Amino acid sequence: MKKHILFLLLPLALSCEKEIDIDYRETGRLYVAEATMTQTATNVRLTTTQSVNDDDNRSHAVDNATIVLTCKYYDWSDTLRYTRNGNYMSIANGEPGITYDLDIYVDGHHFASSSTMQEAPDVRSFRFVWMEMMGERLLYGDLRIQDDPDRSNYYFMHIYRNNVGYRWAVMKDEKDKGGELQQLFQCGSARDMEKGDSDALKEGDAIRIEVRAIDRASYDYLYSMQVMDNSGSNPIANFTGGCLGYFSAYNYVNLHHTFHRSEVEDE
Amino acid sequence: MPRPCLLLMALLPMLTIAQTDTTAVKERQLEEVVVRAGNAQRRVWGTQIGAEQIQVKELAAAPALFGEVDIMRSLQLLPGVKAESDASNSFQVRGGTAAQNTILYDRAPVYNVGHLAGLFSAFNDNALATATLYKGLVPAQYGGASSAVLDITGRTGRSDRWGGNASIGLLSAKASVEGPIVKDKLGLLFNVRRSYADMFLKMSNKYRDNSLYFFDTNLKLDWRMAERDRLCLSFFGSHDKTALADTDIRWSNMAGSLSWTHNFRGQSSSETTLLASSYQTDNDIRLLGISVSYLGHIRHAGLRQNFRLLRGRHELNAGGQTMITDVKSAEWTIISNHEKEQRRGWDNALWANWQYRPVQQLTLSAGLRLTSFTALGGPYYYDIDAEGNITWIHKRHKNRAVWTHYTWEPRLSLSWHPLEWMSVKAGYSRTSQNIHALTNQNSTTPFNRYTISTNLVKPELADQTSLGFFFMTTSQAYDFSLEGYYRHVDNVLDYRDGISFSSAIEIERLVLSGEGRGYGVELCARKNTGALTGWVSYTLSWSETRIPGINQGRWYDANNDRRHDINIVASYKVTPTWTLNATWVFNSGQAFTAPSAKYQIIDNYIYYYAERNGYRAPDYHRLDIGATWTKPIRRGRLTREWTFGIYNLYNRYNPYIIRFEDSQGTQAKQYSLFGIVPSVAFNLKF
Repeated sequence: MKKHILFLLLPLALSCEKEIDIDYRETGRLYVAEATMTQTATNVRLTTTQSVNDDDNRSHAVDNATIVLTCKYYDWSDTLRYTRNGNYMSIANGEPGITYDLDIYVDGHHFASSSTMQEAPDVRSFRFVWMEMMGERLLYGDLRIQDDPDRSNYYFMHIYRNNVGYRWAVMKDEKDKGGELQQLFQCGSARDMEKGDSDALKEGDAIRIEVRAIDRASYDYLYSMQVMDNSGSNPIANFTGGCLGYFSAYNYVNLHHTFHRSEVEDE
Repeated sequence: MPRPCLLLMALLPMLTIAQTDTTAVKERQLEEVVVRAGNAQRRVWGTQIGAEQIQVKELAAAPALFGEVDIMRSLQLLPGVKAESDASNSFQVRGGTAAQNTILYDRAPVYNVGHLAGLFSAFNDNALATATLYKGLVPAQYGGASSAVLDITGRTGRSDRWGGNASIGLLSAKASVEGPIVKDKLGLLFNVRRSYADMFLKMSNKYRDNSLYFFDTNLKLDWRMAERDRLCLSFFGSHDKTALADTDIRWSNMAGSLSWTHNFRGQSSSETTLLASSYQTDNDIRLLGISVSYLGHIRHAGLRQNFRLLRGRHELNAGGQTMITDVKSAEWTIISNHEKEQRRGWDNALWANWQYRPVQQLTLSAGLRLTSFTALGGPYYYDIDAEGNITWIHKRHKNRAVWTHYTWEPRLSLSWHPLEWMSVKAGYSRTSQNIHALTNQNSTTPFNRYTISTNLVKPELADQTSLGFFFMTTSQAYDFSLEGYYRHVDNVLDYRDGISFSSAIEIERLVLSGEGRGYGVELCARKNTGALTGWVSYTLSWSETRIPGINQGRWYDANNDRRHDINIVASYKVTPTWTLNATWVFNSGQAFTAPSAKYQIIDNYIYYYAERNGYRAPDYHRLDIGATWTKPIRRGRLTREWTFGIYNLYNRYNPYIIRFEDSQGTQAKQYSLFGIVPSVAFNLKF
């Protein structure tokens, strides 16, 4: 009887997904810079936008730019060296509290941004947890960070699955300053795993969790990227001159984990 | 996307009759200004263009979903009116948004009027008498909406004998009782309705922590104090709770009014109404130790006075309203952080609307509404720079004026029917709105944030012009209408790019202001008599927005823009006991934003959007059918009624959300909400 009664409720939970064809309208190419400065080096990847249906990012690398990193506090600058696939690098590393400027000159364009290096984050733990929702087991990644109460902190957290970006999020500490901050990542469901969904985690997947302490400007950019799905809008500009992307000087910590379904905890 | 997540997304937008006479005086008022559905002559001869009245007993023309005759879903079938989405009871009129409508229940404003993902309207059909929808062109005695006004009149109880009904459907049950507490003096009508999906869920270990619950009640007391005096007390309350695992979404509406109607000699009258209403949202998320709560409310308390004076060919409605509005745009507790923004405004209006019929074939109506809205001190007000940063804080003593906005709103309409079977109508109307809603993706949710007009947020001002031609056959068996309109709205708000509703407690920091416009043509053909009745309507429309800072400051199609809407509604009385009905709805693709390019950042593909709402979703269409079996028993003292319905008969999965995913190349994925949904209900009237 219970089954019959619940059957009556099924229409409420039914849904359907399908792929639809869209004739995308192309737009002119724009420059994209992903510039990072860590406690060990500085890297910039300069590319251009690609068509929505084009999945080869390497062919959009830009190799003719001049990229200059400047530190006004110590009065020095360094021109980054081009390596390959649009990558430029320097051994210049960041010092917490110091602001660095980045200038990109390419094909008559000039793009500029700046960022302030942060202290290393204090990462407490990471685990996978099952949660029940409407009869379905959902998998969550649960990350804990200890916040430093003496300053405003912003975090960028990135889960890599087999060295490929999988989930990411940004967080600021204003909601629980000095406390243990928590970030959850929804990682599919048990049903997705059983179906072999490509997005679902698989037994033995190598999981790396990178936690970066970033500055306010980087946070604003990445936060706007996080909410853009809902609004169909672009992230706010981090570079002047119309270049997409951002420049972030950050300290980071990595955690490593191997995914075993048997080790996932129940809430 | 896991189904619970999609269901949650669907439920967020939800965070959102008549058997006998209604108040006689109100009825007479309504007859003068609106056109009754099902009455061709009134549609053709009525003065006010863009007004549609629904007699709730006539709602049976549309199939009942889950056995419920639903006023909001029936409204969505009228020309120029659109459903907000598949899972929404909210409606959009002539390019406006649902948040730009005002819904009045016995004069008191109510908000987010859907239950259970929009499957049910918050209004129990047993409690309603009439509903009049003014599609932007409204007489001066109405205001507060930059798009449409829906004026719902609750039913009064029988004054001759006690009666009622009881009804049970798949997801809810309802009951009503009505009758004379004092015969021919004091009548009562009391309705309750409750869902029991939550009870079913509790039977299952798997679903017992989830809840899909709603409740609503209506009470109306009608006291005929004297031959010329009548006092009506009306109350409406509704409550919703949706709990999925550790997410609780709750909202409630309460609206009450006490109305004294006095009839002068002749047909003139006075109506004095004390009104109060409260819409409240209360949402909690508790997930693996994270605890977040979001609260908000809109409250009104006020007094309204309207005089209706009739002399010869002249009719004058004049009056005023004063109302305190209290809006909590947000109060949230996120772990240990607690923030709140709550403001009050004093809303005043004076109006006069004069209607004159110089000759039988011509009616003129001219009105003026003056409004003042004062933001009151106590909480802080701000100055904001171009980036949304606070540059100055204004502190005022509690209830001292911070800023007052004055608006004058002329209204004009003309109806000319040179021949008995045809008329030409034209109208112009300016309306203003001082409660502003901020929505993500243009849908009504309990996570919407609201603000009053402040020193920074100006009143929305809408100007609409309309022209229409109306015809009927001499027997009034058929009637036809063709209406065109142009609408322009100033001071429309939208979120800045890169901002979400919870980015800052100070709502002015989140928004940008711009303008909107809409234009279109509405056609409708109705069959009014015979076994087969119904209508076919077609709407061709455009709706656009321009906000500096969004889409490079260029005009773009509004989120709710779609070009073609077709509704076919038919009811066929097969026998005295059996009635069949069907509705077919077709909407051409709704505007949405798709990427024009992509790029890689942090190992993820990020989409680049070159234009806002530049693409079209797949077309939406759906066929609903229903059958009603009605049989009087016990010499007509009881009536049994079975109602069968199938929503989305051919099980088409219509677009609800379109998302872009890049796990194996870029894929555009369409998520749909409801497939075929059968229903049955039993109703007993006594």
